[in-house]
Amino acid sequence: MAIRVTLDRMLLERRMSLTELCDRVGITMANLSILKTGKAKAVRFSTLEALCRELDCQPGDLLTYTDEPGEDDDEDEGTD
Amino acid sequence: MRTLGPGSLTSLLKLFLDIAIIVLWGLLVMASLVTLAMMFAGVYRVTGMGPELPESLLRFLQLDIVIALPLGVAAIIAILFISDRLRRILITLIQGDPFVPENAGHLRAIAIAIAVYQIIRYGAHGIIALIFTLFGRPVESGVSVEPQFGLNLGAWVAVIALLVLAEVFREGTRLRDEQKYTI
Repeated sequence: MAIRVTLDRMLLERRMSLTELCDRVGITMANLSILKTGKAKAVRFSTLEALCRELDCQPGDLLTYTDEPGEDDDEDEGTD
Repeated sequence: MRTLGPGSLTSLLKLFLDIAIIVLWGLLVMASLVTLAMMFAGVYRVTGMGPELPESLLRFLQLDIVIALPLGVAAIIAILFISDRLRRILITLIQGDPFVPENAGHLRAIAIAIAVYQIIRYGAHGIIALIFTLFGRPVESGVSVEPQFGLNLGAWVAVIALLVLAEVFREGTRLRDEQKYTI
């Protein structure tokens, strides 16, 4: 997917661990890993809201658009 | 009785299919051997080349039911293919998760197999009709083979239903996948 989640950078800037974010946001580690590795297909507004609240940022700080095709783009071609 | 998982109705059905597949393989080998013998006999009769078959076997090969055997071989192959695909779907049911993308492919393959068999059947009956017209009908037999060109509505409806079901499965799997990766 051409939308990338910059959760890594945000965590690094705030010196926060993924486990700590999991506890604060109330999302499981597995789900947050899916989000962090760019495997997620969609993000709920409620999740985005919780992440923005805990990381003190805007949705645009967490998501960026790139022209490069993502890792799971080939998998999507067969199903769409 | 449970319908999903190990020890369920589905696993019984799979066991039945496993047995049916073994029986079908046996039938396929026998039918193929007889078809081969028939081909050898035909080649020997026309060209005089090849091994000479015993008289009793030649008489057996002239039976109407044996003449229709190549179509029977096609039918067994089609049923084997469909059984194998059904078996793979049943395995996913036993494992408790039938909504996998492969099952949509299996359903589509079953639909295509039924359609291809129907088309082969029309072709085979056409060839039988042609043989009967050109060489006459074999007379020394208790079984009659009649060329039939009627439309098998049940089979074609099954083809359409399976294609639709395959699409439903594919979309269902896609939606579940999307749901799974929605954070």
